[in-house]
Amino acid sequence: MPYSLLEHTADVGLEVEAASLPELFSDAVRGMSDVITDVERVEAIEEQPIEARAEWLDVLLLEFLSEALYRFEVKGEIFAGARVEVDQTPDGWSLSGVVAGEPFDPIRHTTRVMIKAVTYHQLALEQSDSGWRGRVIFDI
Amino acid sequence: MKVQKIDESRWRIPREGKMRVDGIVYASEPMMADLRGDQCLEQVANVAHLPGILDASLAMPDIHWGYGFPIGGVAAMDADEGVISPGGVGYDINCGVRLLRTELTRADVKPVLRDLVTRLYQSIPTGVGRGRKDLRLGKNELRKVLRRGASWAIGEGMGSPRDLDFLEERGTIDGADPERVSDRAYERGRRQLGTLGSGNHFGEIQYVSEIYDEVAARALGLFRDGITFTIHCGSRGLGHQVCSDHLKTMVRAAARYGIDLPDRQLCCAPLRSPEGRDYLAAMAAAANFAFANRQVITHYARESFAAVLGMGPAKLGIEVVYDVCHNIAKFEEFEHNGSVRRACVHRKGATRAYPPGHPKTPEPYQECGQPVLIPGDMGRYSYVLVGTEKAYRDTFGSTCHGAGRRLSRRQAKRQARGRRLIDEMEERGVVVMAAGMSTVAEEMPEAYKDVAQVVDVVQAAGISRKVAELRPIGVIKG
Repeated sequence: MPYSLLEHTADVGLEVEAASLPELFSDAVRGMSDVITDVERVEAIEEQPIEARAEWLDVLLLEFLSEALYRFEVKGEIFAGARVEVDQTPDGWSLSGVVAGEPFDPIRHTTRVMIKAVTYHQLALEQSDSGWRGRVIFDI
Repeated sequence: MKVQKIDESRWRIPREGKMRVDGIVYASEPMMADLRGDQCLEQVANVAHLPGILDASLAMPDIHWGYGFPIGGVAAMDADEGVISPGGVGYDINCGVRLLRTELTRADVKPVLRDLVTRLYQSIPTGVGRGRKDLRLGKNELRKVLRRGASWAIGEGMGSPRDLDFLEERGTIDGADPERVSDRAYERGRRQLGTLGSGNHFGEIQYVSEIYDEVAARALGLFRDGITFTIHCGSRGLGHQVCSDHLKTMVRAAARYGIDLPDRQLCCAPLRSPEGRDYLAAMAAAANFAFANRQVITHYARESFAAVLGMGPAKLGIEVVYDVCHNIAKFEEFEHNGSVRRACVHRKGATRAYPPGHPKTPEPYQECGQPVLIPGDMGRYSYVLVGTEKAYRDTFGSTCHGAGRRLSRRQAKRQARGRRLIDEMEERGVVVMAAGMSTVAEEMPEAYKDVAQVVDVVQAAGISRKVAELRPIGVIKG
């Protein structure tokens, strides 16, 4: 599995390892969907553009996941993955590409837990021996 | 981490390194044995780093690990020199508890209990669900909600003006500015007014199972076997978005103001800075949404009781006992060495506990003190306490807020596998209706610590006094 769920008594987190940053971002959004529902039942039927910017790379991950969470809550979209490019800019980092998923169907997609927000707590994204390693904690 | 015993219910984390004050943790000896080695003590010490923190970084006995600030943490910041931190309030701004009392007894409700739970479950949207179709608000109307809080709902006929007398800050935090709330927050909150949400939020029918202080109970309108209804919820997606938006600003602001932080989730800005003032105005708006939310749900509950019991309002006697915030930062005043000290008190998973005689304690409670509402788990009991002079002096008028989890959500689900929790609860005399079975598993009684132990510590420490114990008989959940 490209991601693993971290657990703590009050909250849930995600640890992601991937060979490249685009893969890591894709695995992270998939992992977040897996917290909300069984991601095996989420199909990548529709693609929609996504962009994010941040001063720091780990905050870029937070911004990207927060955007996906917003789309889930307000637009009712749940995502199975993403295809993005991550670039260093003069004032930080940027990301652009698509997220792939489908409309959330409460019958087929049983809710596991609602995520309130993606937190800065213990947020990390750094290079590892095998590529990149990220960690993010959700408030639920 | 160095921890020194002060007395039977208090422990000191001595100031060291860049800490500006000591940490003080309220806990019994066995509780502290469990806490040692837990990251939450480090979080108490981290909060002590924040500029302008007064006296001590405090933690209540229901302390547990939170993101940045510990849950159960209290930090009072000097109103002039201090900072405001969105993480010190939390994502669910003004998550809180409201207690309603009735003239009904257990015997009145027993024959119709299932109908009553069903009716409440149908009239109060829970879970991911949106608000009722008869409450759809445009942005302009939502702005009024954010400015006025509970009194907006009362203006719409959802409650009586008398209700306001029994809400913390009378259900409206001053200084709310709807313009400081982002479009995204409006979008998330637009359809969520009058909804409980999911997770640990609930509506619960209870009966008064024990009275510890007859005089105070009488003042609060509580009597043995009397039926009560508790509402636990907050500002929903609107509040979460306000917190996220302002954390983003503050992470950058903290760096700019040269504030050295041990954890970015503690990011903050001076209370007097533009970023600080913006957050305070947006937080107040979100807090007002939460007050309005609990007021609307109170209205739905009153309608449900009336419909199922077939009684008019006078006979039912459903009145607000009190409504407390669990996640909030507010300017409050405290007497200190003969003068008045103004502080911005952050309570993250903590409750205000003002003493008898305080001008903000409602008139009928002047002799007993401000009610403090401590929900337990859905199988055991909850408590009604009152605030004390000692809390006002020692903890910036603050006390605990609940039980705290014992099992992680996944552990709870593992333990619930193969069990029929709804039937088990029914055998214990509690009718449960929930939007999702996994929530019931995550929230089952053994997932929580025993709230009685938490309450015993605050009573022993003198920062609250027990008035009554409430036991659940009907629960609705997300």
